[in-house]
Amino acid sequence: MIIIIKENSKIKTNIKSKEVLEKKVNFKSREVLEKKVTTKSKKVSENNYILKCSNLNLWYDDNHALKDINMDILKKKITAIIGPSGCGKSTLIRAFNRMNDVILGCKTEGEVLFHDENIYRKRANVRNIRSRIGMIFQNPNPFPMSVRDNVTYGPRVHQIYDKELLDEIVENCLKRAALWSEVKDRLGDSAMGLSGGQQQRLCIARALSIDPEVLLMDEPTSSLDPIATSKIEELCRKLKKKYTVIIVTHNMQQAARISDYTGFMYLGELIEFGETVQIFENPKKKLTENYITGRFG
Amino acid sequence: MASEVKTKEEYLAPIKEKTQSGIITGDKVAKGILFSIGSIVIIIVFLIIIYLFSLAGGFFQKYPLKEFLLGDNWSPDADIPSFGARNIIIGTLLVAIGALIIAIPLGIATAVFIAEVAPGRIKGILKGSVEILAGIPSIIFGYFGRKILRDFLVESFDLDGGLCWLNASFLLAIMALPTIVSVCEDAIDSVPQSFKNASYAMGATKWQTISQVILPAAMSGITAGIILGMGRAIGETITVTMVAGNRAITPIPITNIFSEVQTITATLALEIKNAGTLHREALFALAIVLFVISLIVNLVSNIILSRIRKKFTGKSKKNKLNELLNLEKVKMGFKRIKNESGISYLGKIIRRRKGIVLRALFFVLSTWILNNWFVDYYPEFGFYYAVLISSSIIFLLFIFKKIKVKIQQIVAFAVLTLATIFVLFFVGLIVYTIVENGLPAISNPEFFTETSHSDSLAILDQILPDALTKYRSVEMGGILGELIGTLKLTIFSVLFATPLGLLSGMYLSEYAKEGPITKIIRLAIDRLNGTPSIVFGLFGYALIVLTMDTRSLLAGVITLGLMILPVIIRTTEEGLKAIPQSFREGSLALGSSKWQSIVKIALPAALPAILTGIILGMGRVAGETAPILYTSAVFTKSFDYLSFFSPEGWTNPTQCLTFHLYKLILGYPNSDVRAGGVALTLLLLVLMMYGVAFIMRSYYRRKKDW
Repeated sequence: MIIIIKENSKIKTNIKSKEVLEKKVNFKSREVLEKKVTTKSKKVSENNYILKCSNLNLWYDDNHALKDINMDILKKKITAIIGPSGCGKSTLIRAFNRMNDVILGCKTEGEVLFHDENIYRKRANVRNIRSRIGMIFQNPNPFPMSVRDNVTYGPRVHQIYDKELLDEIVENCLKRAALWSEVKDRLGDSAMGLSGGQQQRLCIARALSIDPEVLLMDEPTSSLDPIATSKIEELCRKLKKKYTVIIVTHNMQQAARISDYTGFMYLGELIEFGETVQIFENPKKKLTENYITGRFG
Repeated sequence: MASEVKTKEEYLAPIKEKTQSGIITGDKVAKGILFSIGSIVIIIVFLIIIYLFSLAGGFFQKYPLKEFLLGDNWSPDADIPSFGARNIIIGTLLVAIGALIIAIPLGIATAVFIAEVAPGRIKGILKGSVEILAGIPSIIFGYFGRKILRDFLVESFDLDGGLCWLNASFLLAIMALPTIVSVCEDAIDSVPQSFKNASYAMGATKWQTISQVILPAAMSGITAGIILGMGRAIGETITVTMVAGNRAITPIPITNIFSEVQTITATLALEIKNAGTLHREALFALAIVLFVISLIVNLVSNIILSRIRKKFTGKSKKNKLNELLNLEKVKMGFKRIKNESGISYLGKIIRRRKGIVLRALFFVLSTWILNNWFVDYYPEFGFYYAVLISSSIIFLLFIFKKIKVKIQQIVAFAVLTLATIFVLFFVGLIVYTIVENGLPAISNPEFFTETSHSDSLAILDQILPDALTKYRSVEMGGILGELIGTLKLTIFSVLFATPLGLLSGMYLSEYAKEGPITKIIRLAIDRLNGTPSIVFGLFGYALIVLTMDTRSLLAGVITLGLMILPVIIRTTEEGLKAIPQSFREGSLALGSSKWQSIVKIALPAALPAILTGIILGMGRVAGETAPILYTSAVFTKSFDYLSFFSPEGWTNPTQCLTFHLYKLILGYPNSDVRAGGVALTLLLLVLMMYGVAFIMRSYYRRKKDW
């Protein structure tokens, strides 16, 4: 949230609401976590990793969907995960904010370290984890409410009811999601009336509203047309300045265009992971090369 | 090669010729038949509506409309009869509103619990219990109300009667619950998983997701469920007649829930039998009022629904009515008036301070109601108690928003669980009461094999009313005659309605072109579907009984048949619509006719759904009392085996379980054992039909592989 304020210092906002904003956003449980983060911040700055998963295994009932995934995600970079359908890329990023908990019969083993703390530890605060690791889904899924209510949903869920503060959050988040100019006159209209691309950007604004550190994007452009897609891609590049972005995509060109790091998955295994340039120009594994050059199967 | 193909073509050619010509004529004939039957049914629907209006029309020529609607004296038997229906109309509304106030929170809470909170196995049990509740006939609710609820009210509130507004509203609420719960649950179930995912991904708790995403998204379905439930509450006859006390007064003060009231339906049920011409016409006018009330409810709900839809989807359905009446202009006019008079400014303030305005309204209302209730018990402190309670409720709601979300969730789920347990408790209590009271009678096998001796007893009753003891009910013999009467009514009315309903449903779903006429037809059928069953009884009475000068099985069969006709039409139509278009296209692509693809492909696939609907309709018919009250049922008639299939059987009145129970409860206070036995038999019969439908549905659902 502090970041939001810094960036928007150009916008005239009264100082009082800023203070309230800082105070309110740092609710207790978060404060505790943040303290931990700051104590370990040197370590974080040393290696710059924000998410680290080690020996991550995941089963849907008997289906072994993720096999021994080891992967380190760098801060403020875009990491793309590519691979054929059903290889477990979506499952992997859903594992990063424990969205797989929602699915019945799902079992996870191994560790996912977020700021060096395992999010799968016992007594982990799932709500807190999810509010710090935001997610954007494959199909735009705004709530059937007004645009404003969509963005304020997150803060309200975390018990922020101050109207001025909420208005500020709406404006900030919509601006960062590059949607403000298009919807500022119809904040009260239903979000379902927006176009697909606008809806997806609204979902991004919604995810930004609780100021996460990581944004998980699960094929965010797969249901959009090329123009809307290019807008989202541009947005991703902007968001990189403040957030860590992990994007799952079918589209190899997209991964090559926007990402700094790329992981290639196949049948639940992470085959290769490295800098995007290296993966696309000089892949080490034969399988990766085959996939990237389109000689697959 | 070439020769081979040629022979094949030659081989097929005659078949093609044959089928082509045959198909065209066959299809035309089929279409013609369907069309004519469809139109006959639709004409019947309109006839019923027009006939009722014309019957009532005569009344308004003799009696001023204003007196009728606003007069507060309903005394049809006085020397100068007076037909002021105000109190009756108010009574109808009060009972329905009371029922809704109880049923809405309970229904939504139970639906949420079943759909979102309950674990898998409990979910099934709960759904089953709600289905059982849906199957319990209204006469059984009346029985329960008189037997258990009356005593409970008398004891706990120190009343004289116990047959009152609260009793009626409470029972109606329980009766409306299954409708509300099942429709709301469907609505909640159909909220896309993606909304829930999005909410969880924001770090919301389950309760926050339910209350802030799922419920708003399901709002249109929930509203529809409430409206359906309200329809049932307004149209319910027998239960209300038995437990509301039946005095045409307005409660004083109007919040006095222990006051006796009389509803329109009860008035119809009680008075039509001995009514003179003017009185009868007045009753028909009352029926029209009932009709208009439910029409208004429907219209208002349609407006609300379209508003909700507009709010959530961002698009509103094009409203033909709006265009027709040019409502846009009216709206603009309103806007101008608003702007000029400052109302819009006021509205803005209200909208901005919605929370405070709502709280203030709630505070005033609840204080007033509680004050009215407490004044009697604590004359000195009543007002202070009322203020204290309403302000503490507001305070608690305010606090609830501020406490930790995890605790919020625990509290909310506890409330949901309690509501569900409450509903379950009542289902259990009703079933238990019926079983407990019924066992002594039905444990004697002669109860089912003997006919009743009620003739002799009715006479005895007149001579020696006090000499009869409890044992009388056993001496009254078995219920074979009633049982067979009920079966006859049920089976014949379904046999009467099924072909008509099936064919017109087929016509509507497959042949009718979407357009204004089809829309009107659907509206009329839906209207008929929502028409209270007593109105059908009235129709049957006026059209058949008065012309034939006697009640008869025939009149009952026609009345009941017309009553379930709309149900069957709608089930058929929806069953056929649920069959994917690709099935028909697959058949049509092979060169079969439309009729063939309907009969051979679509209909068989839709049959399980249609049959289930018909069996459910049978259950409903078997449990109905109001439509046969004055069309075909008698209390005393010894069973005659010969009359079962003989033509006289059709023109003679018949006994049946529901009417028998009704008479026993109202007229024979000492016939507990027998009444219990009849109630249990009826419950078993109806639940058996529901059970068959339920098993069939789940069997075919499992078998369905597309």
